[in-house]
Amino acid sequence: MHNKIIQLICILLFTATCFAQESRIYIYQGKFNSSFGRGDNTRIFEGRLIVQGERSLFTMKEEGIHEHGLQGNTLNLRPDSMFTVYKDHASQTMLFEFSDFNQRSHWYADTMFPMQWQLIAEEKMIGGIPCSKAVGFFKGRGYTAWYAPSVANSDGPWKLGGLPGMILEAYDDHDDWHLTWVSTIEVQRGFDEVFFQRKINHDLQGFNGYAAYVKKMFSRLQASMAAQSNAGCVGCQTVPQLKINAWEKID
Amino acid sequence: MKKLILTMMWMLAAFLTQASENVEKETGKQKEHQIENVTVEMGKSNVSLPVLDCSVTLKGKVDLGPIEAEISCTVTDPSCEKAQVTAAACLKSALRLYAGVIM
Repeated sequence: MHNKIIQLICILLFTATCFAQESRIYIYQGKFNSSFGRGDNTRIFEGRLIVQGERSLFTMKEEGIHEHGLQGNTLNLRPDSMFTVYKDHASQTMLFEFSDFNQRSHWYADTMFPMQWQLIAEEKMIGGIPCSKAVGFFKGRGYTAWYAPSVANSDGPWKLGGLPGMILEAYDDHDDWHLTWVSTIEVQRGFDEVFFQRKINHDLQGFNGYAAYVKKMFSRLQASMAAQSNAGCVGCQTVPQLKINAWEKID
Repeated sequence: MKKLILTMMWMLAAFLTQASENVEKETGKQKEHQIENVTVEMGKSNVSLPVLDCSVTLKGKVDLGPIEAEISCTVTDPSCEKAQVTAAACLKSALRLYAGVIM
């Protein structure tokens, strides 16, 4: 009896290994300036695009020490992973994550590759792979993408994609966000697809829902500040003003 | 007769000398008066100059990564030092409130 259970477990493990989908991880090195358009708060990031069949997951993690909390005049609430996007090419579904003040994760749906790329007759090599240039406009920002026609995948870092080849380098017009592919590794299991399929099956809000949530969140903070000022606290002779600067234009 | 003419000429010369001295003295007095007037006018201008206020703006940030909120406190006061201290207190208070609400 004991031997039969062990045999059954072995058969199950063997079957799972045979059917497990291989994943390819495209690793990018880059930077992001969170004070885009207003100053310099550039940090170094590593981006990972995990491609698993028709699905992919992208995320960016800050390199070095990730400081958190109140430092000087900055209240640092950046999440560990940013620009996290899940794509399902088969169903043309895209999900993106927003981490709120309490580091709670919220998922929203967005349109898959709505940007109209203009293909430019320029080429360059990235890591020994010939790449072609394309420029496009997305959510209030101009982007340049270098894609590899030899890599038959229309994916790319973050929400970018829809080109005839994998995007190996991408940056915005002001070079506040810039990622360049450095290597590719293959693994047996990249990410848990079930988690995202469950999210898709729920009635997720779209980009407008996300924009409304962000505005609501900050207007609550503004109201708290005004209430404290009206209560006559020391140092509140003037009501501070709050201005939202979002990477993706939300108004 | 000659003596009379000489006396008359001497008196005329004396009169002319005296008259010219009076003219100079009158002119001098007039200048002094004008200067006094100018001084008074300048004094009035100083009194009517507007009092300038000092305006200080201090900024802080709430960094959420792809979203950054900019907090600004602007204080206007005749004393620059007071404006700066008040603006700093405003910003500190705002950031502490946000940190308290959020974290």
